Amino acid sequence: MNDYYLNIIVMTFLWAALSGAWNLMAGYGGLISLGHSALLGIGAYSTAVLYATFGISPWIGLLVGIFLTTAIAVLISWPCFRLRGAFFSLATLVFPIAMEILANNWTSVTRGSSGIALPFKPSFGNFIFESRLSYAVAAFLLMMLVFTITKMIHRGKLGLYLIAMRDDQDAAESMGVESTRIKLIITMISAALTAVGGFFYAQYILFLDPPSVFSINISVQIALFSLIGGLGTPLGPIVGSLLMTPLDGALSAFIGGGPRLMIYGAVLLVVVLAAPQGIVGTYDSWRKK
Amino acid sequence: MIVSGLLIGGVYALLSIGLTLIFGVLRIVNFAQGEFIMLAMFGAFWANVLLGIDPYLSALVVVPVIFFIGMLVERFVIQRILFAAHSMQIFATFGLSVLMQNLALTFWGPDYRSVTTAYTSKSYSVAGLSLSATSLFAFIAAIVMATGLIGFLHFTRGGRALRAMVQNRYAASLMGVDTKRLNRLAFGCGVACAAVSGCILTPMYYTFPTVGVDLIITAFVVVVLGGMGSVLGAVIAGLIIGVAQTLTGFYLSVEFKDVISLLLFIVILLIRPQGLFGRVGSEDIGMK
Repeated sequence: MNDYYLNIIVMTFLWAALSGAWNLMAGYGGLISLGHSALLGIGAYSTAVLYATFGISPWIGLLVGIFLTTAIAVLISWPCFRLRGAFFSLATLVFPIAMEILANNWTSVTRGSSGIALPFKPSFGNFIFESRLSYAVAAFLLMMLVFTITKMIHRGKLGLYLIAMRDDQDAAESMGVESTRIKLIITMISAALTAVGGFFYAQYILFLDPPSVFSINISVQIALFSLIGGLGTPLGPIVGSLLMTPLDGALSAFIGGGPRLMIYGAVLLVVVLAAPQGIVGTYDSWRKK
Repeated sequence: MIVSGLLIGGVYALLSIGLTLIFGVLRIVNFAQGEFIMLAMFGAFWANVLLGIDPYLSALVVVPVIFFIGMLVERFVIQRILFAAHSMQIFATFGLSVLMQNLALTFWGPDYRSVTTAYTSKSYSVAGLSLSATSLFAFIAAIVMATGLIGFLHFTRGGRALRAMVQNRYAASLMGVDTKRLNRLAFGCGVACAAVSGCILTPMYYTFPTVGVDLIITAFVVVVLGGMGSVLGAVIAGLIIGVAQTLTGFYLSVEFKDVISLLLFIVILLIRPQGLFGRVGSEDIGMK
């Protein structure tokens, strides 16, 4: 199999994992974050800076990235939990924009807009591989990790709390659901998994600049895949990414960024208006009939 | 410094008024509002370049056109998601925003364009202060628009019907208020406000496809600070944010003014989540 197809496979798994992490907050908790690109970026930059500038092993970078991303996510989202619905999304939307400005200007650490290139030294210790097949396996494992966690939450108590809170926060609270605590837990899980995605992104692409990770378009893409697959279903993000990532690869080969994102916007609109439950959700309700 | 901050604040107020109107009436946060501003700016830009029409004057054509587009959008998108789940409302308007932004990017390219008029670099000096003509106009327009809107909401039959509908949609419809028509009108007026601000901004700002994102982030902060849905709150909050950003730009760096907005935003949420002029719990209204 050639590298072009392998790349699409790697990206399919990676996007499924990222979208799945987002789905935990949005699909189950009703916390529609438009700021996940910031979490991805912080995770990616943590490993990249430690590895490229200080020569520290990416595995340590991964741990630092998870810790840092989760901490910042908690710090930012805690006050935002006071907001409900669209206003929460609004608040999260500001976050990647601020991060991009910060990354552009904090040149001593992030090297600003010229970006960070990671030295290509293949070894397991560096999480850099010669063959894209290894990346594909790793991305698949990451996707399965997200899927398993989602499945466990879906079946477990936390999922019930989350769905109850999503559907009616006041009623859930009166039944004894501690909504802020539940929101914090799911945000931390989601942020940690997104940070792992960021680590993978940095070690796979081996180049980072502020717009490539902090752009709001990344947040849109993450959300879109879950939405198409089915919000609040464990399988939804995977189905969405399986369908959209190869399509996106083909699209961007033929047309440039503007028309491609135009199609994204149109797809988003059509899905919301025509099939708000997504593929998995629509299939489920069709089967139950 | 404070005065130039106030003038910029006028622009922010202008941007936020339309957003406030739409949220106040439809309980929908219009993520595509910035793109309507962008569309109006391009309208004014092309009117100037191709036909040589003054950007302010072009508002006479641009604003009705955008009003009409807004009505169409309401008919085909907003109306269908009015009672849908929150996530769907967010993604519908957000998808619209992505679509419009990239339509502009595809057809008009990513270049930064600007319009030069006789008054672009003109400035008046009032009481020893030098005020740039364009931001003075924007400030005046903001005040006029806000006064007009508040007057309309409080003293006319249509305004009363609107406020009745905001309080209780069902009861208002029983009293003979045509809620569907009012919804469409409110959305049209909301984006028309965006169009007015777009036309006024054209001579003082660059026109490019993602200009809406740049502008709307601040506008959102203003709306939250002002107490979502209050026109007067939006005006006062706009002025506060304008001054805060000008001071940051002067003492720190212009680059950080959006970061300051974010910080301010979080601080507001911590201390006073209902905003300056919102009633307690108004941040929850969207849920019901």
